[in-house]
Amino acid sequence: MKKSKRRNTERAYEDSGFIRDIISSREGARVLSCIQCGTCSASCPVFEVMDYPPRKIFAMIREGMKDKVLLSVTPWICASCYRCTVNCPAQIKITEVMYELKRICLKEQVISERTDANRFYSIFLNQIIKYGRSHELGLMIKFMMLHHPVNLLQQVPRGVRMMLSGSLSLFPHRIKNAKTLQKITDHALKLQKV
Amino acid sequence: MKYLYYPGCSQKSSAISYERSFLAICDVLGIELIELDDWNCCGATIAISVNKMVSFLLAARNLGLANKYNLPLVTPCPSCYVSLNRILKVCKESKSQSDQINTLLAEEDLTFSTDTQVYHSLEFLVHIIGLDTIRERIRNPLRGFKIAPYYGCQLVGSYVNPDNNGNPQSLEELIEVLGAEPVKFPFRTQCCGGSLMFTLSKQAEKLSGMILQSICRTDADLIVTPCGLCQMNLEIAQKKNHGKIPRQRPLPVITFGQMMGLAFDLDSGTIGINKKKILAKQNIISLTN
Ligand code: SF4
Ligand code: SF4
Repeated sequence: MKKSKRRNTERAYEDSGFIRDIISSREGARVLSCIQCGTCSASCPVFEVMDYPPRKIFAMIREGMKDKVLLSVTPWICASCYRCTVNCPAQIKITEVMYELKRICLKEQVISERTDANRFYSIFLNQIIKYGRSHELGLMIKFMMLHHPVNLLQQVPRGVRMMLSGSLSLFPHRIKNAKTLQKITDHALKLQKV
Repeated sequence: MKYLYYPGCSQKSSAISYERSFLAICDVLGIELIELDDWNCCGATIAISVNKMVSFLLAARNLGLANKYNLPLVTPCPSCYVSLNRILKVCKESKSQSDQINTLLAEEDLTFSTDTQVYHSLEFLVHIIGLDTIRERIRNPLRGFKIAPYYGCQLVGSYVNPDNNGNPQSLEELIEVLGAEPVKFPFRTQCCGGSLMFTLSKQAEKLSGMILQSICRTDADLIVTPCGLCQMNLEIAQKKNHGKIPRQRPLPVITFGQMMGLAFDLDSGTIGINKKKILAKQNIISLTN
């Protein structure tokens, strides 16, 4: 009895290309060892604003519930604090799996409507690819103009103070070899889509 | 003693006082730091969320630049520390990954070596330079000060550094050597929400607020951190939460470099904080602006 049950679940895994993709990655290799103990959810400082806490995400991955997992806001809320990863008794690299899920979301263009983190990420990354460095002011303005122009106005006095103290520069710094960096990141993007 | 220095983007902007104080104390300790020429952003937690290869490449390019110097690399930013060590770990485990990245880097005539050492500035000073060397330079012991060691999450949380079991001690050791007393509180390694500052700012402030509250329940005079982002985030939360913090006790949040600068008796301008106010144990909300 026990044996046949196990075989069934194994088949369920094999049926799902999603789970295969995840366990074939370096990050997700141990996903099937999850014992559903809930330590990750208990460690997570932001679980209360997630739709599914990390433990549930792992249960859903195991069941091959691709759409639900990709539409979840959880990976976008994850603060990348590694606390769950440190505590997981099954040594699952949970934070790395969260990165992986975000990459799959972006590749498949399935993103929860409850987040705009994806847009923030793309502004940030484009900036780095263009200049080689991140530029806090440019980032703040671009992202806030997109969604929260009013908040941006509220930040002005603070921004001016920071600029005067030298801790916020007006213009981005471009590294010397920015052109080559752009070229090799283009190659990298072609090599690996996510 | 020569080492390579990788500042990371925030040390050139919002965390500029962190950089200044770190460079100043290294100078006092006779450590020569050579800033990595033409370094780029490590990609932080964002590049890896978008494209793995690009994120590896961004981190690896810096190690490629470092390879020419053949020196260990030191960075003050916990997040950069994680990114740079991640790529080292990935490439140590997978030669094909490493070859792939080196092929990309060849376009810029760079190759990187997985043998490069990457230290965070705190472990570097406490474990590589050593507490004895630090002790010799103290001119103004911080006797009578109670200091809350706040590590933040990146340094201790990442799988890069599994030896410390989530129970780091280097800040405590440093505080004691400088003559002050470390204060115990429960949220030493809890996330300040820094990475959510743009996308989920309310939640970020809430997390920082919890850390502040737990420190305010102790008799700490100061909060010290090895992270520029934590410093900024705690300060923002402190301003916004002002009324809600128990005992209405705003506390200066300084980096360990600034704390060492106080003990080495460096001047306020060099370490980027108002020394007089801190030494007089005045309650101040913000030091940087
Ligand atoms: S802590 Fe690890 S084993 Fe436990 S539920 Fe979370 S992922 Fe699964
Ligand atoms: S890394 Fe993400 S999922 Fe894990 S505890 Fe931190 S915020 Fe939660």
